[in-house]
Amino acid sequence: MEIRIKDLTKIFPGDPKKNIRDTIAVKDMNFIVPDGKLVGLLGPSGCGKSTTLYMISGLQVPSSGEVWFGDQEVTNLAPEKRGIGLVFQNYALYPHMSIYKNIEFPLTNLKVEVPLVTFFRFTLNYEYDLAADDVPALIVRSVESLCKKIGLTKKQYAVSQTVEGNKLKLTVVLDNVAPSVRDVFKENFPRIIPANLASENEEQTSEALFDSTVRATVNKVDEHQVLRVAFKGKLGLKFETSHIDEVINAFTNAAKPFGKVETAAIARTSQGYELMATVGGIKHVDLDASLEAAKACYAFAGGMEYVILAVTNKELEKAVKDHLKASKVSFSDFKLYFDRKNVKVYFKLKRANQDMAKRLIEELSQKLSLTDLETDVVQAIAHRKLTKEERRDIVYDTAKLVQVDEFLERKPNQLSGGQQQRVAIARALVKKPRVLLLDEPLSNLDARLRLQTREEIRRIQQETGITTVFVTHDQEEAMSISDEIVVMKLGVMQQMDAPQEVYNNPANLFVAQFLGTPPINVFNGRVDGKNVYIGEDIVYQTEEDLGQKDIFVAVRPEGFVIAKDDDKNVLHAELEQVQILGRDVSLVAKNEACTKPTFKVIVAAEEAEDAKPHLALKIKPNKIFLFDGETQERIRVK
Amino acid sequence: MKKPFKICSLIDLVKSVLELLGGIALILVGAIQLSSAATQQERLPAAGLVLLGAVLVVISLCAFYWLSAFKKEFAKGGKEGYDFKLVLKYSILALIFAQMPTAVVTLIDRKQNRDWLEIRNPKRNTANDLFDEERPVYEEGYQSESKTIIRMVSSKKNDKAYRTRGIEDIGSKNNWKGWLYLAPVIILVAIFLIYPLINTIFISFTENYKYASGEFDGLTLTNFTYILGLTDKANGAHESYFVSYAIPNTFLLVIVTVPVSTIIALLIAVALNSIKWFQKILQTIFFLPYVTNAIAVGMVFSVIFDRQGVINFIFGTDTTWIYGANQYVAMVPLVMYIVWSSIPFKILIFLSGLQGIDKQYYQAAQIDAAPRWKVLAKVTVPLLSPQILYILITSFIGAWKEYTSVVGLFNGPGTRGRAGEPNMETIVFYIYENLNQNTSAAAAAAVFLFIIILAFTGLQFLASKKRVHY
Repeated sequence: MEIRIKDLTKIFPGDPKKNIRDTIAVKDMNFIVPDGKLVGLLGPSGCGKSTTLYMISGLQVPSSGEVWFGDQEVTNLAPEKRGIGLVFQNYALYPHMSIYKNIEFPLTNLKVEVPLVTFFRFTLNYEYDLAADDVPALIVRSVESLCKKIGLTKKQYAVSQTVEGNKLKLTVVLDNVAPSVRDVFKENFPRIIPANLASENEEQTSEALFDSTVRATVNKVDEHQVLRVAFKGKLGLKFETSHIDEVINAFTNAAKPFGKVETAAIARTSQGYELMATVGGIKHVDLDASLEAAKACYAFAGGMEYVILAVTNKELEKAVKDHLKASKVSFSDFKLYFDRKNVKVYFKLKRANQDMAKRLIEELSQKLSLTDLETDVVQAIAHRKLTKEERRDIVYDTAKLVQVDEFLERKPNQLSGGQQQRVAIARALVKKPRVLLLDEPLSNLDARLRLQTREEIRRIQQETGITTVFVTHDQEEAMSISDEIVVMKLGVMQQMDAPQEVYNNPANLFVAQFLGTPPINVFNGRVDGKNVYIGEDIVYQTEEDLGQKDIFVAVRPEGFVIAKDDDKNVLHAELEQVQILGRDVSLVAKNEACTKPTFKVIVAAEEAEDAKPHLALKIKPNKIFLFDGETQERIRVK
Repeated sequence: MKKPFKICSLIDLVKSVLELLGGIALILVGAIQLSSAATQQERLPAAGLVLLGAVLVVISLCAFYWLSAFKKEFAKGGKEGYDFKLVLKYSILALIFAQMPTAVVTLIDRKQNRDWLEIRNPKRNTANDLFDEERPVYEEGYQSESKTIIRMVSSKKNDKAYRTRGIEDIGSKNNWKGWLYLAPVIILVAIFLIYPLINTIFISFTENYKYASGEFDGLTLTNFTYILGLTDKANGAHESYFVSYAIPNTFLLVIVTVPVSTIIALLIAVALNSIKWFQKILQTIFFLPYVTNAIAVGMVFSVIFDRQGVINFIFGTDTTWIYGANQYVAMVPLVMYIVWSSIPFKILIFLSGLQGIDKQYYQAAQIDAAPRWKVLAKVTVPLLSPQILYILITSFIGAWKEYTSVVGLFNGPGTRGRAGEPNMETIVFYIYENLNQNTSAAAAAAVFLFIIILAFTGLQFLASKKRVHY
């Protein structure tokens, strides 16, 4: 399931009384989370990443913008209908429930769709040679538990046994089930007991049921039908406003014999004046006569026409409803309405079998002489809850996936932080969500566990293939497990790309500074034509002419090489300190132009031996980034 | 008029005697310590003890003086009519002086207890000593900490495994001082809780206990059989109201009012907690019954349920609810009144509990598409279970002891007030009724109630072990 975010904005309203201004938490977010990928929302605290996540989950309502899951817009959908799993920052495991109950809880609310196809009663007779230590009662019980496991309720199955000598005869009755259920049963039965199917018998218990939506035009108009009619008449350009009362009175008098005048008014249009009126309670037989009367009411009424607004014949409606009710088919949304010139009918038949639905619609279409019949027939669907056995299987599977199956009996506070975290993931995964959302899932864990758990999250995500969005402020965490990361700052998205790409090609100074440990070194510099200066040193030469301006030059710590004597374009700095890191050495150096007092240079240990107190550093061309001095946007150079 | 004054002066007298004794004891202890003290640092706390003892003695002597003055004046009044102003003045002065030492001790204790109680041998008892013998004991900057003492958390004095050299287990040595401070409370509890309890149990086994003189004719078990209507008294008196009215009425009130009021309060609290507007105002409105007077509102209820009252008018009925009503019909207004008056406190407790529940649990439940009733039953109620247990236990005990509501509503033990059968009587009402004339039976009923409540509460605690999640 692909997640698309369009112009998502969230503004938390302030309180003008207390002089608190509105807060823009998220502004015009636009990004797409590809199907099955893991995307990290990364940013410092207060950047709106959690707000974005909660808007995707539906727990926060966006001020504007849209959220799409695949082809479905879910912006205004309640969180429980979005099919998401959410792992909270401090897990929110119910402290009073065991781990098993915690994981099971979402399943108890879940409902499975059961298509109402043709149902049968299947009688399956099995024969089995009893071994010495077989207990027939136990065999029956395990067959029963198989029935429960495949989602049958107690009414739907019956297992009985008779022992004849050495032979056990098992009779399994599956009542009111679809053939597919029988197939599942037959497929799984040999796993319990290797018995032979002696005979099989089926009889139909119910027919397939369908929901039909009917939309049609009613042509037959009853002579006794009572109508509500809207009249419209052009009064022409010559009409004078002083005659208004006269016209209205005349119309009222003319219409009175036919029905009750509800409204009558004269409206001014660009083509002159128009008489508009509604008259209720006009009998169908009088319809034309009433129009003639209305026309005659005033000489100016050149083109009087009438429009039937609504059929208010309750009798008609009642007749149709009675007809449907008599057939014991439940129906809903019955509507008679007027569409331009025709009376239309709309209703839904629920859970009717095909013949019945067809017959009913035919009968009605004759009765009302329906034309333009549009029927839409779909398989009717019933819902049922998951059985206890089904739930248990799912819980065990999920618990195994996140490796908490040993602790199912315990309470959450008897688990360590990492285990609680995995339980929280299991609870989110158990209902097979379309989208998994994680809110700072690792922030409660210690450093070592964090490393381990983030790999765990990656593994679970890849095994299940669920589109996952997670929020973190830890850049290392985001870079190591995400397929793509979204860097945010103060509610605005800065960059979205693959982790390596964000590191190698930061879009602006903020992204460059936010990613990487030790952080990137930033120098105040300037460009003059093709030369890039830090202080008085030309450190880099571009291919295109950039003119003259102040810029920021940012260099990754690993982007420096200790220059040889004859190298050009070197940066001069004073060496302050040498920090041994093992494989690498970090040189702490000083340069006037650096935005911080010192900067760091990471070089291989053997290279560091050449380091002198007065350092001359050459910069690798792919590790240097130029940013505009004012906008801090990247200046892309070759 | 007489009794409360008497009791007051008695308490004060007992208190002042104790304080006088305590003061003398403190002076003695301080003096002994002072004589054996070698250094300036040891002398100081001992002197403090002596001073405190002296203050106590002076105060209690003052209290004695005012008490005796009060008594004299009071005794005079019995014969010649006393000067009320003077009596009041003396009694108040006596009261103040009798209470003062407690306050003094508490205050001094709070401020000084470190200095003059715990420091014995600062040289050895520093934290430094424990870990580093060679280190100079007082370093710069550590001076202020030098008086720190480590209390050993060990009740077993001689358990060698817990013994550490260089540490003095002050906790056990200073025990008697702890008892000294607790003494006023313990004595008060003994006088007003333990003694009455034991005395009640004792009286319940006595025969023909005389309330005024305290005389009785030996011990017996017949009081219990008498109130249960199994045996009659020697004079032929038969008791049937206790079994026929008091027990069933009380039991009915307990099993109806407590669950009903708790459930209603829970629902109101949950509803209140989920609305934003008017929450504070509604909270105040729902709390109003709590600040009303039980008797006064009981009368209002009896007017509402009068034959010509509002209830009959609204529902167009002609039911006799209060005066002269059938026992079980009269239960309706009674139950409604008790529920009405007991809801506010429960709402308050539940609301405070609800506000402590993390909102994330509800968000999680929402994402899991749990319907509202399920959230209430599976999340809210279990997380609120400590508060629910507290409310259930206190209100069950309260319901067993229901009394004022009956007085307020019926102005007597029955639907005909003092006349007629006591058909609305509760157990506590029975006890009050029989206190003067039939003290042994009243005591037996009190013991009966005590045992029931004890057993009931014990059962509740047992049941709660599984259901309450802390």
